[in-house]
Amino acid sequence: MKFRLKDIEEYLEKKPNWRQVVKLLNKKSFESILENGSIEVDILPNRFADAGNIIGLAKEISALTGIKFKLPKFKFKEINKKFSDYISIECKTDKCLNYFGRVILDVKNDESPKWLKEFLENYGLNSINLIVDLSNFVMIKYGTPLHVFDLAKIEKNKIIIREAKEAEEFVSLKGEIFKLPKGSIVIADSKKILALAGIQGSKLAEITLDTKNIFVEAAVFEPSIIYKTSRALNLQTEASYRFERGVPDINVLRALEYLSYLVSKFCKGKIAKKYFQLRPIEKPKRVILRFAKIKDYLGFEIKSEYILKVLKSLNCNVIKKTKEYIYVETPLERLDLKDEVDLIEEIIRIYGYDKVPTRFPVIYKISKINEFIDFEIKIKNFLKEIGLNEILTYNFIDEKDFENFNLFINKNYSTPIEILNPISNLYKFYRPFIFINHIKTVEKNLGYYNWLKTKDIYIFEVGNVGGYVNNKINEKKNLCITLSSENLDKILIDGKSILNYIAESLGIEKFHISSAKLGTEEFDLFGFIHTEVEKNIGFIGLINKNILNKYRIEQPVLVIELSLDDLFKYFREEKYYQPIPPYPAVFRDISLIVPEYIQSDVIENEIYEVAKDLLEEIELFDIYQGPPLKDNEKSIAYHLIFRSPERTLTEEEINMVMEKIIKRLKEKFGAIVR
Amino acid sequence: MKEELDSILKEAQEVKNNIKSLQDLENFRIKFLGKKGLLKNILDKIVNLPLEERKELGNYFNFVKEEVEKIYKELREKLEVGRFIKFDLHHPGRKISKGHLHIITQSINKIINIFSKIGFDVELGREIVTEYENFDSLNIPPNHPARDMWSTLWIKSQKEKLLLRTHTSAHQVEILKKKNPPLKVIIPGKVYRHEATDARHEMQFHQLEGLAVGEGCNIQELKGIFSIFFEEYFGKKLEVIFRSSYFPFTEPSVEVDIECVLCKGRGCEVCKNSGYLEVAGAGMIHTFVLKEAGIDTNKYYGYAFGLGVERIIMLKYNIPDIRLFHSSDLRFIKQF
Repeated sequence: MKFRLKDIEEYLEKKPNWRQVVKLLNKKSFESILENGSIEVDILPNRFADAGNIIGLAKEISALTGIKFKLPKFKFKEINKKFSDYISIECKTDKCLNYFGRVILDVKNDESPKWLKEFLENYGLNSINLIVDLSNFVMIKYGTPLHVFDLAKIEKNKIIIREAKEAEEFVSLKGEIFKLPKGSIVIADSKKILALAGIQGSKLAEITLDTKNIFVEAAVFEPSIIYKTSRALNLQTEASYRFERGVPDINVLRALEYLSYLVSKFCKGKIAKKYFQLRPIEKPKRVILRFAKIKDYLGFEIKSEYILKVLKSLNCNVIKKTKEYIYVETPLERLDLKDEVDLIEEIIRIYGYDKVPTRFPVIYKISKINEFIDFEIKIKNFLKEIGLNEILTYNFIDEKDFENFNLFINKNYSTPIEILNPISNLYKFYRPFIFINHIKTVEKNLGYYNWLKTKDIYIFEVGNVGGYVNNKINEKKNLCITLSSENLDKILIDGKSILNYIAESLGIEKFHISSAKLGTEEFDLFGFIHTEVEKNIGFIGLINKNILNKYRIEQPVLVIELSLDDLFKYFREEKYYQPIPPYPAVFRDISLIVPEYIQSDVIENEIYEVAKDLLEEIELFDIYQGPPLKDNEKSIAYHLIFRSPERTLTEEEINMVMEKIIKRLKEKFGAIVR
Repeated sequence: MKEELDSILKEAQEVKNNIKSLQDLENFRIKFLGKKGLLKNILDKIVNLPLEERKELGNYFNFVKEEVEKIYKELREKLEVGRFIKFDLHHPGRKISKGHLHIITQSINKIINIFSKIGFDVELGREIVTEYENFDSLNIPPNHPARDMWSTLWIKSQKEKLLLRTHTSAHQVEILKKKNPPLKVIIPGKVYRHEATDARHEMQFHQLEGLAVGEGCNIQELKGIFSIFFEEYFGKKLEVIFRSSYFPFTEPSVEVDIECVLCKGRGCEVCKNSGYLEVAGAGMIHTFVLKEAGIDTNKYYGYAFGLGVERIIMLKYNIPDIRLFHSSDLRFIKQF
């Protein structure tokens, strides 16, 4: 908020050194800057009630600088007739926290004088007419929005404060019609709504130049209701902004008296005797401030004399002081001072954070390694070591992404997580998988980033994904590896190699691919990934060509997405020494021609079964399809390593085993040994 | 004749060191092992000796011949190597593509390491949280203007109101409940805001939450923590300044500034000539929050802080645009 320096100076006994003031405010209260004759102050939300106005800010400056605060006195006369002869007020809701009002008769409304117009302009307000302008003038000074009604427009001279019925209509000052949410507070008469409480008056009770008699309302409404109504109607006003942040009732009353004085002075109005008051003024809050607590919070002691001085400068009323504590009443306008900690903050900020020395922290215990984070860092490092680049993408996908992978997403989640108020349609869904973002990353890096010398993109990302499963949000952490190159064989083989590498690095024996499929809507090749324990922990898939076309990608893209949470369960870090085998190994190769549909791991399992404990390792080293083989045949070749922990194996022994293996493969798969 | 053989071997061993080229070596071969060489010469003599002597000297001859041949072989191996490996060591080599961790991963690892040295554990939380976790539990009630401090991305849900956490503070109560004081914890994580993006604003970024409860967890220590952290992170001692501020879940609350890392307080473009940089928000955990977690506020107190991870990375590496972090532009990734 921007204030004119001269407006604040009116309430200080001495003109302050403004440069000094800005320094102090910045450190101890609010961020502020000086700009030709004004001070721009960023009033904190909890202090708007007391300091978001000229008088309040002057009080704050007084507390910081020690310059005395002064409130110019004013006086006005009341006529003999009582306000109640002209108006009656009934309150039907407890959401109106307090309500005051005065009646002023025979006012002469007019255009505002130059000084007033200038004042309002400085505070960003338009001049309407003298009475309305004076009421805004008071609002800027006291921080209290007041409302003035034309008495002639109030039906039967009776005001009813009540809650709105569902969709009740309110006519704004501009003449727009709003349908009110149920529970909004309204100021009404028997026929119509005169004002939407705390937000705006209605055109139907508006002050005009012809207005003769007025009713001035000074009220406090439940802040949360004002907030709710103003957001629901998207109607934010100077008044609603203040009421949302709280307005002290004592200030409201002070402002009512000041406005009455101004109207009697500038509009020659006659003030009816007494004012309406709904409830007594709220009592000051009483707080016990313990010296020990200040020391706990600060780390060292501040002298009690100093504490007392600060409290007094803040207009706190000290009721009692002992060796352990001070018992104080906090000022009525300081709505933020409710508890001991609130006062501790006051003491410390006025004392000055710059006077607080730094101290080396107390260490309670050795910090524990978070095993999951440790695991995550390890797996990222494994991937980095083999040349992959870690990226981060936004955790959202758009509608088109969703359509492209609709079937696949629906197989995994009952519904996607949709953002209620997305920033744009590009960020409409919380991502169900990471790989979809990676397709776009490939597109961007091949496309408009347009810089790659090679067209090989090898990337990975760790991040959260989610969707609804059985009506509950299932949020989990995934790892996605994406390989793209012009060379299809390269990414397929590298993909499988990376999987093996991850398994080995994590101490998982092997990943298996199950239900490998050709050609779905989304993937040209697809398989689920699981471990020995048979659990589905992710998938590997070659993105469908048609989908890639939609992303303007002309080269194959292979994605591997794994659940990091699941991988973590299988992560074995403890390592124990295994004896180094004392007996030599025997190496044999075997090359077979088998029907195309027979999967490699099935053959491997069969070989293991025959060779039993003698087979130490089996490694596939070649797969071939094409001439001179028949169309439905493939050739497949393995290295076999035999070893016994107990003795040196003989050639004859191994020959026998090999024969058995060949026989079994012939029987089972019709394999031909080459 | 034995003496002759000895002197041949001795000579062979002596001239060994003078052989520098293949030509020298060939001369060596001809001289010692050639058809008319020294050894052949002696052999011819031995052949004519009587059987007994022939047998004895023959053995010795074989020994000497083997030794000389050994020398010849050694020399040949040494000299021929250079003949077959034709490689210019000035060749630039092949580029091995190096992998890169994202600068955010690297930095969060570094931050975790610094804090673990001063006794902080690390915790993680979910990104989708309840309205209670993100707001109500932190003294930010519904229909309160304080909520406007965080522009929120809400999630379509039928039951309770859910949202993408706007700050890692959303886990304060959960963690205070889970761990008994005294405790010191940091919580790194992604947070989300409903915000138009520009070079300084992002809809998705990383925060680091700090939470400490127990004796000694006071403002003095809080200042100490920042002082240590920034010195370790930026590699130089920087003054830490606290300014009075407001957050609903801390009381007192402060804004944390450090001396500008570039100009050290003299004023430059980065700090907009103020000499200082705003880097964190902090304060003493509000008694409301402690009570919400069931902690006895007469016995316990502590501090909390929140740090923008991208912000300090940008300062350290002189990165001008926050949107680069999630751009997945490999030209950016490969720089770190």
